[in-house]
Amino acid sequence: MNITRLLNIELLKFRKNAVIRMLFFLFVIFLPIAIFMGKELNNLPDFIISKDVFFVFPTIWEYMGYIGNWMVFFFLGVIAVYIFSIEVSNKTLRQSIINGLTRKEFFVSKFITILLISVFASIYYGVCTMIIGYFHTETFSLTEALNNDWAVTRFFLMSLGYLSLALFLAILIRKPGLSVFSYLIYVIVIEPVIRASAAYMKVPMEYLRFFPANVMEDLHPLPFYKIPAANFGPSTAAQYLLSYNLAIVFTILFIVLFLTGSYVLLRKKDL
Amino acid sequence: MNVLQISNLSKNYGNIKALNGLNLSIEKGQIFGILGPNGSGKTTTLGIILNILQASSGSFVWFENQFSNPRLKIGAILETPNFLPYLNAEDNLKIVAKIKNSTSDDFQEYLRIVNLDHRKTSKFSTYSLGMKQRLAIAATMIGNPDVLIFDEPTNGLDPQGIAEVRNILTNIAAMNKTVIMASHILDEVEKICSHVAIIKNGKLLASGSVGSILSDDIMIEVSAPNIENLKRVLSSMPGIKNIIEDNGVLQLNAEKEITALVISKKCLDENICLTHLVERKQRLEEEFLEITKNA
Repeated sequence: MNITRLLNIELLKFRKNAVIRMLFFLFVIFLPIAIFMGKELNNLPDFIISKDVFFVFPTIWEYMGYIGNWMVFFFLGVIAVYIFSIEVSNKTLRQSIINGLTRKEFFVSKFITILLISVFASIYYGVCTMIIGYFHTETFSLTEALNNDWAVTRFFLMSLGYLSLALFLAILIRKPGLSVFSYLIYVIVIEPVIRASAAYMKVPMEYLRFFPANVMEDLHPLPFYKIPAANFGPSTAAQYLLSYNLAIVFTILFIVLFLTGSYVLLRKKDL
Repeated sequence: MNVLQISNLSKNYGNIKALNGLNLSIEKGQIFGILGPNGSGKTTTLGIILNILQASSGSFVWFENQFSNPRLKIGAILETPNFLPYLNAEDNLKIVAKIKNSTSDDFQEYLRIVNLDHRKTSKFSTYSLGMKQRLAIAATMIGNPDVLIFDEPTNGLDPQGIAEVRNILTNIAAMNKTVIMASHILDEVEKICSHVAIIKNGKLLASGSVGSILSDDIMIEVSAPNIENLKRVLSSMPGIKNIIEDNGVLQLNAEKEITALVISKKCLDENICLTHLVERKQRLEEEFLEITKNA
């Protein structure tokens, strides 16, 4: 299998697509800009000592990561749905197979696309964070700046996780609008509602952390959870959040599951 | 060389049998028409041999298994022209060429053949249906494939579009390629194809050269002022198999020694003056109706 050929085909297909360009552009613009809204926040809760935590090492990794969490989920996730479902709606999926791509090649071309998007997103996150952090830290030390619990790697896995989920739903549902809607609604509404209902029925919280979207979110969670335990009670963080190691293991597991599912669906279904 | 061998192919959609044990064999150089009414299984057959539908049972072999990916040697359109709407003709063709692993294509030439070179930089979404179909035909030429497949190529086109597409197809057929064409328009198949298979309800009813499917029988149309008298005279004539009266004209189904001249002489002898006399070979259309009627 010639990976360069497959990547070339994807580039030819999507390089000039207005929707993808716009979503990509918005991601690139908003990821570094969003954190500056932190400068405008005035009534901060007591446990945030100063606005500086948003901008200085090492905590900037957490805040930028959390912003990136939403940006990747929304802008890049929608791209992942879109690059498949647009090929269904225009029947270019069919035509690509008719023209001679194998179904396996078609799957691989989509996989390397979301892989490269994730690689780009995590490098971009790393670079933006380093630059913003550098200009806000008085005495810059590289060791301290990079003391971030593998933040870039976690960002990469989080991104690939969301994009795998998005691709899987696109292949499962096929209709573009419905696929995008399902992807957004699943992460924002369906999964939280399932977890909340289960919690209401007295299922212990620690078992409810292993849903796919939650596992991926916990790679770059809302940093407030990590603020000194005194504010929430000692067990709060542990109760709601997975440890990074667990989140990494389960994200990889879900990525494998979603990609395998995507491949099997694509191999078996009539197109 | 055998280009395509279809053996016992079946496809079920739930309880519906779209294809029911279809067998077909297509040889190199044939212009092969697959003829059948709407819903007879033509597109399903093409979908299976192009790997976008999974057969329920049965098998097919391309090019006697010479190539690991036979679709790279085939140019095909199935149902509709499928391209990305926001790209222009050239960009869309580049994608096809990349998929086909083909580097030696002259897109300008293909676009000229299908008469689209003046619109090559317009987005696909701005094309009329006829232009879309012509672009699809141009795309089938990429990589110089041995086999071309067209599914209802003139479907939905206006008369001018139909004439253009037929013209292009006839030119392509002359390039010594194997062409497989599905159609429910008999006239189209009769004009373009060398061989034909007739299918209905997913079953093969007849297959062979267009000449062999067209019987040797002669069809003669006659008319006279006194049609009843004419009918009485002709029905007693040996060699005439069947007489149908249609709108004041008698259609005679006759053996080949009964020519227009023979009929004319006979009527003169009986003092009947003819107002209409036409002799023609029985057409595929009548044969097709005959074959599919009882199936």
